[in-house]
Amino acid sequence: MRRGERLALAIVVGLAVLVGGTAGAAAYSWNHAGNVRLAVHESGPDGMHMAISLPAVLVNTAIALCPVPADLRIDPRWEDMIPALRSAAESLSDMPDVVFVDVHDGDEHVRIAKSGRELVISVNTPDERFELALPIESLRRIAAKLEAKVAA
Amino acid sequence: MRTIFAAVAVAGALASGVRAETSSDRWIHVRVDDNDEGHARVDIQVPIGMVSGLLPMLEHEVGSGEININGKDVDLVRIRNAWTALRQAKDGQYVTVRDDDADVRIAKNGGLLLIHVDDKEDGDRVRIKLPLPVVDAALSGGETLDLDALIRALEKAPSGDIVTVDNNESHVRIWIDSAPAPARQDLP
Repeated sequence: MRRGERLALAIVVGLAVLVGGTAGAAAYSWNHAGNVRLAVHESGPDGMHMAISLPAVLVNTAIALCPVPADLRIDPRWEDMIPALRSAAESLSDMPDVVFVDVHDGDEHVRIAKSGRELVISVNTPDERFELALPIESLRRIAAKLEAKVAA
Repeated sequence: MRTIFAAVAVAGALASGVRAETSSDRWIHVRVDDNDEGHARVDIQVPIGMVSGLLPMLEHEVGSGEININGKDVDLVRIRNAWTALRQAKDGQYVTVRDDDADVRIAKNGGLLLIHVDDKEDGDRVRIKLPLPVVDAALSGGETLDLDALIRALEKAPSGDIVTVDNNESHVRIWIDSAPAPARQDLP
């Protein structure tokens, strides 16, 4: 193999490693961040059926890039809660999977649980089913951003 | 090579220490079972440390200088004085009230404050079992109950029931444990 060919091969291999590595890192990050999932299903012929799944990596990027509205007013009582929310989100990531709230009342069922890297809120009634899954990291980032806004 | 092994060992020890600290969180559990038609069931469990974060919210609700017991405002200073006397006394039963409405017993035994209330009218049966340091902490504040100290004391309290309320309509149980409990629905 001539010197020029070796150089070309090195460049091609280098580019392949770079592209492959970047794609792998992006795929890992995409998969690791999880998804924000919202599903609402109403019973009956006119019932709404909605399912949204948004990659959390996009949500986290949006949280990082979008400024908090300057005229955002937070109730003083909620202001006190925001550091607690951030602290809770941080400690959630170290916890085992757990059901925090489980309410059964007749045909109605409400559950708030930590499952893997997500906080899952589900409400099941005879009329509708609602499920929201929020990656804990996204929750932490939102709380940290709001905390910074309150502190400013 | 030895340095690498030592570094890995130190990192492992630190990591296990962090894990141990996390898993040593105390949990407070609240369970309510209703005996009405729907047979409602409520299970709530949170790490006690997490509750302390919610205190700023609760502190707005806690009045100043007095607490409400059975619909009557009772001066905190009077409660604190009574508690100081009870705290220094030996184990034993200190209050026994028997009347047409209810039987009330307050005792101190084995490092616990025991309060038993049997309401004859509603059929309520209340059992409160509080470690003494928890009561100390709750009454250590100035004008109000010191919720922050109360939570810190609960974190150190031994596992077990602290409040149970039984009546014809429902059963309420509040207890402390070192781990979260599986949801009842998920149990085999």
